[in-house]
Amino acid sequence: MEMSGTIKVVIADDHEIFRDGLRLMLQKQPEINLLAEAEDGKELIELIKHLQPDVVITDIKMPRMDGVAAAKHIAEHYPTIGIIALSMFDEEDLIIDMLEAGATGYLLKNADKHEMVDAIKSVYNNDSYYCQHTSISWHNW
Amino acid sequence: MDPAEKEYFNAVLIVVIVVGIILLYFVITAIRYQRRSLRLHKEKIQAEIDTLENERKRIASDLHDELGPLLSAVKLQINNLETTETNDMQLIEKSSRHIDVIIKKLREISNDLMPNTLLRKGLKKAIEEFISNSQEDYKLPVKFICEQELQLDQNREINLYRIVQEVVHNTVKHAKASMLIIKISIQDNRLFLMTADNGVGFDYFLKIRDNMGLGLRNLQSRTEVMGGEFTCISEPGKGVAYTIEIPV
Repeated sequence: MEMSGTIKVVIADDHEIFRDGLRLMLQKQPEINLLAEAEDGKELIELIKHLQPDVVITDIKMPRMDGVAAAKHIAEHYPTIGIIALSMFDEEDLIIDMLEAGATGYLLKNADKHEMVDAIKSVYNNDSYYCQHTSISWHNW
Repeated sequence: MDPAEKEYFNAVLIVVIVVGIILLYFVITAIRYQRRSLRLHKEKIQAEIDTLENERKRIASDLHDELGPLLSAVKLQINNLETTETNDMQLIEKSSRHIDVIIKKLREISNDLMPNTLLRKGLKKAIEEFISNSQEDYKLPVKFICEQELQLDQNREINLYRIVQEVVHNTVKHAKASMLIIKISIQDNRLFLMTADNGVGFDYFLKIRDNMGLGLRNLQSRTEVMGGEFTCISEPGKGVAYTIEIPV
């Protein structure tokens, strides 16, 4: 897999405990540089303006601005940033909304550590990534 | 007619008119009372259904939005433990799998209580999703036909969704059917939800005389609060057909 330096990542999730877990995990990955965390879509967009990350991992359901609206904004204004949607369950309609909004990766929140890292690398390399655990068929995407 | 007879006749006429007025008053009062009690009964069922559905929404959302992320966070945290001990690694692996099973179960419970798809994408998508999931669990072939787009208020969508759920559950539980067909169509501002199975059927009149059962009562109550009509046609050995017709 092509790796050109450290992958700059920003995460967005309204649950602090989940962000803590994700931070701990990502900080241990040498090829990943976690720049910042956001509590919702609005904060994520503010952070992106200043930090210009390579990849964002965003929850779908968040207060103030949800993942779908944030992904749309990011895809429109920062098309080079890879977007990974993070979902609690494999809810087809939510995930399809995220993919239509511009996400190219999708992960379940209980995905394994290596899956999360693979997803970040894939999206960084402009490939798509869909969580192995999902029951959704991807032939249309 | 002599004056005495005329007087007598007038007196009888007055008594008849007074009795008539009193009777009319009682009849009108009885009809009004009946209508009022029907309205109150309907309002009571509506209130019960609203409370039930709101509670379901709340519990589903707590499970989905609060417990789910917590469990995922716990999984991430235990996976961050670093160990070279084989036993410890196996323990971490086993605990992770247990958390995955709990999350899967949470999803099922939350979805049964209130499907996100119903709230976000509407009745048609939610029924399609429910049928696709239930076919995996129940192995009952269900054909769902709905050619029109449905745009109903959320309460109606929830009621119709619950009716479909109940019919599928009843068919799986009692009918011994090998096929269930569900059709929704709208004609002249009336929505028709029709279902038919090829199972063992039952004697509808015996059933409502002896014990209607909670399932059948739920179908009726939910149709009633939507101002609709509920029809059940069934005979032993000839399957069951329900028709729910509501104004839209």
